[in-house]
Amino acid sequence: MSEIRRTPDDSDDDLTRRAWLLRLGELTALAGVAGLVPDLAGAMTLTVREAAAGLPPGLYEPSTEHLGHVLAARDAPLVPRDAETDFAVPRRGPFQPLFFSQHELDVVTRLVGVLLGSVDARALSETIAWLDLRLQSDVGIRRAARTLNPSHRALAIAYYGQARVTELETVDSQAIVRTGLKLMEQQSRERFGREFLGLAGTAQTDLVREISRTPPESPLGRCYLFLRREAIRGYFTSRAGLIELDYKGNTFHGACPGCDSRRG
Amino acid sequence: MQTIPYDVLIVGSGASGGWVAKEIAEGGLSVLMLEAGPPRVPTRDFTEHIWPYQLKFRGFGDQQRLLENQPVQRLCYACDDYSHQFFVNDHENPYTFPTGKPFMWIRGRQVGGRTFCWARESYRFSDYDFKAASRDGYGEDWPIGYAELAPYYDRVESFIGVSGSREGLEQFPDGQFLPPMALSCGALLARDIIGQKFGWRVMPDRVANLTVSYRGRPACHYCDQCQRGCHTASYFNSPSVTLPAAARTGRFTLVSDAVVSHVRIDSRGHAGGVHYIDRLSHRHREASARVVILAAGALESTRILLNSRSPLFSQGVGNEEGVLGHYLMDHFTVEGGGGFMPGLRSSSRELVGRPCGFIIPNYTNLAASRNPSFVRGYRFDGDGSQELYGHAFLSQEFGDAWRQKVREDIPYYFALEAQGECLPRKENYVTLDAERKDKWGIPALHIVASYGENERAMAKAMRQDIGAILNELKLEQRTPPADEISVFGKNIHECGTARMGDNPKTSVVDRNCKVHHVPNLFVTDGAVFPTQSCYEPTLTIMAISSRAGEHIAASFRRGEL
Repeated sequence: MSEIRRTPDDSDDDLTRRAWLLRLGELTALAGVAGLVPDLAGAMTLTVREAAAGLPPGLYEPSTEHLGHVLAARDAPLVPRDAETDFAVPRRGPFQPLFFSQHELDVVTRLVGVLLGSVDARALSETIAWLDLRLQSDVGIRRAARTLNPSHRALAIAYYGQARVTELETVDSQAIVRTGLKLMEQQSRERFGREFLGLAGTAQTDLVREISRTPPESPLGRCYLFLRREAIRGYFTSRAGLIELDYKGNTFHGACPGCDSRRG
Repeated sequence: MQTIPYDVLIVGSGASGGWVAKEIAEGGLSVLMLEAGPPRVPTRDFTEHIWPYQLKFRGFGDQQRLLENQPVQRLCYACDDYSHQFFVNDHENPYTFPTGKPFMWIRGRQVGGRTFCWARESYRFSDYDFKAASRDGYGEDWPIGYAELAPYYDRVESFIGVSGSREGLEQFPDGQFLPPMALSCGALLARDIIGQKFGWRVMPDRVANLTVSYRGRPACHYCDQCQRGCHTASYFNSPSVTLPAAARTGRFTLVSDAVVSHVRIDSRGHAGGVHYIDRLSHRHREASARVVILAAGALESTRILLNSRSPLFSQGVGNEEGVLGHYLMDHFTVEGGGGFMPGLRSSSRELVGRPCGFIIPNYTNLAASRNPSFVRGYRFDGDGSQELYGHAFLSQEFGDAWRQKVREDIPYYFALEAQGECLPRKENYVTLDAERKDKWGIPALHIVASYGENERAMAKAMRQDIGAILNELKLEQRTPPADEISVFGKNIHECGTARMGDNPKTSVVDRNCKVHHVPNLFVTDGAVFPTQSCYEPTLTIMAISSRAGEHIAASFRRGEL
């Protein structure tokens, strides 16, 4: 037995690696590797073969058409009809929070702004929207966790451990955040004589630094850790956050990434 | 009622069903395939290259819906925001287990079964596995050996494309490989240290991903999102590889959304076809064929057999000796070991996208060494990679300086786990639940399984070895492997329950996967495994399916079926 590179019975229309790259389009490949955002969705319509012509539903043949589309459309909303996937739906009009009051929204936006520093406005907005959705979902998640049937709960405990299951069933993130935000305002008034939003930027940063040193199990500490954790998740899953990380995945590589390609 | 004069009826369209369909249709017979789930549409159902910010829940998933609809499936690493559509609704597809013996059954019902989401690791078993019982005295050998199966391994690998390195290890046979993938920097470092210190071989996983364009399918483009579906069909799944081959013969008919409840057995004891329920309309239907093959996955096929009760087979077909349902196996793992590699801390990002890690094959209980504490063996797998943003959580800092540090001071994490062989024990079994039924009124499975003394003794050795390796690698902030063995079923390598053997009193199917005492009923999936080795079962499932398919086609043409 030996390694196969080409076999005699390979079909004549087999694609060579080079042909495949050429057909996909050099720009797409380069753009993907470089992490750029090409406006090439319309150009990426080459199809290796007619998709699954004559095949029963559910069978398919390789196609670059959709691949090219999604590669090129990394900044565009994608909502295939009837998809079971929860795609983000583009927002029309100003952001309407699902959980935060307007005042809370303003405070959290500023607080997260301090946490993240100078970031892209859209990424910050997405991060706040994620925090809001995460908190709005909290009640339903907890309810679902508490109403798992006994066997599913037993399985979850076997898989995650008792502590994580109990946490999912009992931790009220909404209350943690609401309580914590009030305590933050209280600390702001005690320390600087006014509420958080009325403070100068340096004072806001000083206050956040103080809060960051609060014991993590305290009410204020729990709020801070929750907001910081979800802000990190929200920001670094934004397009700007991923570009900032210089993430070099989810793309088209012409060769297998390995140690030789470590430096990109 | 509907009667269709097909030569062969196959239940299930995954790894096994795809191969028997291809062999039989190419062998000149007409094939009807019934699949319980819907067809998948790549442009609708695949989420390859979708970014987290293109999803409502940013890749973290709608946890409420997962808890409500997929409380079991959500435990699978691949059932996430991008891929949950490939997994079943647990309320529509219930199963039960006794208190204290949790079982995690991960299932995918669609054209292609679980081949959209499998991890693609493709290893041959050796005679250390097929003839393990003769070596250590536990259980039963396979009735076939490596020499009989090797041509079918060749055939499968040559058709689907498996990348790997040739190593020349007797216990880990080489195959018809495409060029291997590269190793990560962490794996290369580990390879040298582990090789020098322990004498064990570190190599890239052998995976069913194409490293070169092959048979009309483009090479992998290394996005590492295989479980989301692959538009370029650069890894093996049955809907883009084996099933199209069957369809191109013109002798293949696929009916999706057909939930099979039982095999119809006539008064002569022959299989006449199956009874199924339309998934959407719930209408009951029948399909007929001269040969029936169950390839629905180990537990689903056994469930159908158990539910195929008739005057001749009152406890289910193939269950005359009470063996059906017994000897359930699934690999167990010792996980969680790892730490940071200080020498690979970096200020720049490396390319990401290699869809495999490394493997260290089993070195235990081979010719030269016998461990007195347990029989059989285990293998390691793992990999190293840069943190993406996990290190951002660890710092107490914030603001621009913190983000700069996250961006420019990137730690490198190395993880290692071990996977061990589960012994086939009669007390690990499935039966039909007396009360619970699925959405279509078919009795649910009751699954009774737990690991025993041999697995626990093996796990102890696995932990010691992982600890020794992590120690030699001088990792920082080291995490020891977990004390607990993984939940039964978690590895999604369930095998056994309708095992293969020459003796009808101790097995359910013969060496050709034919159910004893029923001349035209076959089972070709993992249910027939007498033992399961410590390696992933899918390549062997495909090889025995290919072998059985060839046998069935030839027997049929000779008029023997």
